[in-house]
Amino acid sequence: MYVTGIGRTKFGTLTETMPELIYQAMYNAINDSPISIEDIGAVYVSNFIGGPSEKQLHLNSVVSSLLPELRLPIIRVETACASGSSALYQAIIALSRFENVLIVGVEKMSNATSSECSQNLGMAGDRMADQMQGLIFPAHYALVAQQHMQKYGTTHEDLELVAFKNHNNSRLNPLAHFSHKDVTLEMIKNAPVIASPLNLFDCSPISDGAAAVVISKNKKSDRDVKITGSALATDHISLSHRKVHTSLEAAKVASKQAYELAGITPKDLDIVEVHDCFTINELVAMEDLGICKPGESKDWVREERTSIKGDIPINTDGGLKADGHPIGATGLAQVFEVTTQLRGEAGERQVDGAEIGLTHNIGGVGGTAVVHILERRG
Amino acid sequence: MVYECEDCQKQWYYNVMKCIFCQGNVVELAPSKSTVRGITKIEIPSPGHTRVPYCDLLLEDEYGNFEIRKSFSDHELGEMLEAMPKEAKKVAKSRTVGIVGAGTMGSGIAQICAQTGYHVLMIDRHEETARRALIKIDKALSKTTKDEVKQEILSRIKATTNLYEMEHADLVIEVLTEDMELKKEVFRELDNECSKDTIFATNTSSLSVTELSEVLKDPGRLVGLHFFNPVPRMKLVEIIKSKNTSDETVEYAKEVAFELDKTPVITGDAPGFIVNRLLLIFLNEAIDKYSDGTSTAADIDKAVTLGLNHPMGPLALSDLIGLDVCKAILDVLYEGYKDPKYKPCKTLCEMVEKGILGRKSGEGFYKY
Repeated sequence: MYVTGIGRTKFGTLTETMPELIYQAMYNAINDSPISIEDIGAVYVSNFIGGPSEKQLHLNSVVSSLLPELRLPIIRVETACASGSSALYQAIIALSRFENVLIVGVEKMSNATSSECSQNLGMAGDRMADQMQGLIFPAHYALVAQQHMQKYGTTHEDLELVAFKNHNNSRLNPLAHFSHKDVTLEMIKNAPVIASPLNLFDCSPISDGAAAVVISKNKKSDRDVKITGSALATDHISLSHRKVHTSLEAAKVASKQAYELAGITPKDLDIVEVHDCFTINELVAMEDLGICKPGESKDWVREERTSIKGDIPINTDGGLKADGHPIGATGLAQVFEVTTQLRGEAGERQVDGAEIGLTHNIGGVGGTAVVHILERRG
Repeated sequence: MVYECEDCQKQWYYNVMKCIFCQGNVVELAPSKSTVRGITKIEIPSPGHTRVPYCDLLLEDEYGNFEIRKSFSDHELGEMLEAMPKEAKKVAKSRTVGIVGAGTMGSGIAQICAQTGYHVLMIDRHEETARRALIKIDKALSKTTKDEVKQEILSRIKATTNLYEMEHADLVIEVLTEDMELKKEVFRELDNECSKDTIFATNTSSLSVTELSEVLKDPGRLVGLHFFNPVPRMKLVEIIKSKNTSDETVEYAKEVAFELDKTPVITGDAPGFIVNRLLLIFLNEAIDKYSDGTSTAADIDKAVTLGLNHPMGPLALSDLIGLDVCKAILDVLYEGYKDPKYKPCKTLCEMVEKGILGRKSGEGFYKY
């Protein structure tokens, strides 16, 4: 199984409508791949809050409208913030039936007010246990951060380093939400508190955007990237339904399966995209993925071991923090970045000799976790 | 709420009744206390949670299970809290609160209920009064809330003139003038319109809650809920337990008070409850002191504000409340306790007779 085409839009506050974003991403992916749209057997479309935010559901049929006369099997996939990777996971399974499958993820978030957006994103949490108690998403991860700080001595300065690195990386990614923005450690430190201990710079932005990936059963060109691991695991939806609050069990399960499928260990990774919806989650991800031991992620960040020139570069595109987090597109944007890196086409932010990459995409506060491993051996 | 299989001990957070693994019976665990394991203070409003900041607590009960609980108070890690009563949890989902009477107190109570996230039905016999109350709430919110949040809060308030719309109310708070016959008539009607689970509350400051409760089919469901003016600012709520009020109804009233970010105190059904019984005897004494002619009104007020640390002196406060209202409450206290210490002093009676009523008549102990 191979990634044979990738495409995306710029992320940010955009003027395009949801269908226009979907179309741009699909167009770019088909344009990037040797496959024509007529050779696509099925489409998976991922989206999270198009219902409440844009009052648009039945998105699979919207995609059909964008592909006139094809009348393909198209299905929408929703697993909160992990929707993109979950659609890819489904599409990979669908390769048993189709030679080529297109996956497109989209989110249009900037039309809703910030208050509505908070409420809509909150739908990734349990209605009774979380939403009714006012546990907006920053607050879910604020509790994780506080537990992590208590258990391992992680500090807010460590989170600031994560935000700083990701903002710096996004300066090298012209499609990133904050590609234009110079961010200093001082700005990060002094940002207003959202849900203590997290401040504005611990949170990923409200972004519009779309990303698309074409996958094929057989290799189509030398630029193809092999998919060697694909795993999805789930867990209780509410943090309060679990006993452990410093790691996400679903991410551990999914990554273990993906490593086994690919026959690799975390040490083999050259580049990693993790789900830093909030800075703390980049640290938790490093530990859940086995990149470092529990509690040691802070040391890695302090020693800059995850920067582009570090041991295992993480979120070279800026991550969710600075590339942006258009929910339904995020998981596919991670695949876009890893594929770009493995092809050696990442320009200024290219990681030298990257051959094995991993994407880590989380729904909610770990209710869903999807891990993919991609390889292109030189 | 945690549910556990009696046979294999698997746990759920939803009421699943039967275990899908072993077909065993699933029962609800009943924790009695919780320890605060995590706290986050949330600074940004969202629909249903417009009053910020508030805290979300990660609580661990004695079984090692967790829950998230919203709180407007400050807490510390490691602090022990009582488990929330089951009934309170159930209704916290989405209370619909009926407010009967859209005057100053009624609109204040409607405002804080809507800010807390309740659905509010505000009823007044006069459409104009209900409409004016909405405008008043709109204005009050404009000072403290962003437009977007304000609209969201206002959208939860419905003003109406029809008592029968109260049929879905979980709680009805009566905020009418202090007229026992009028209140009795309204509660008789409410008793017919509302469900058998509706909790009734009266914001009376002087009338007998016990007597009022006796017009209801179930007098146990009426409780006194005495708010203070201005409602959004004053932290106190007196909960009056009549001779008939059930313990469940008192618990319910406490939960509502906490959710509204108020501090409840419990008291029995005797004239003046706590605050007015103490206050009026104090105001009466201040007026009597004034009438001996040895101190000016300003000096008496200065003495109390500086010497007792009261925010306002008793004579200025009497003017604000209205001297007729002060006298009326003292009459109720005197009648109720038959103790001469509550008898309105001569000066007060004379001033009321002359129509010198305080701020509202332009003159009291001060000129306005």
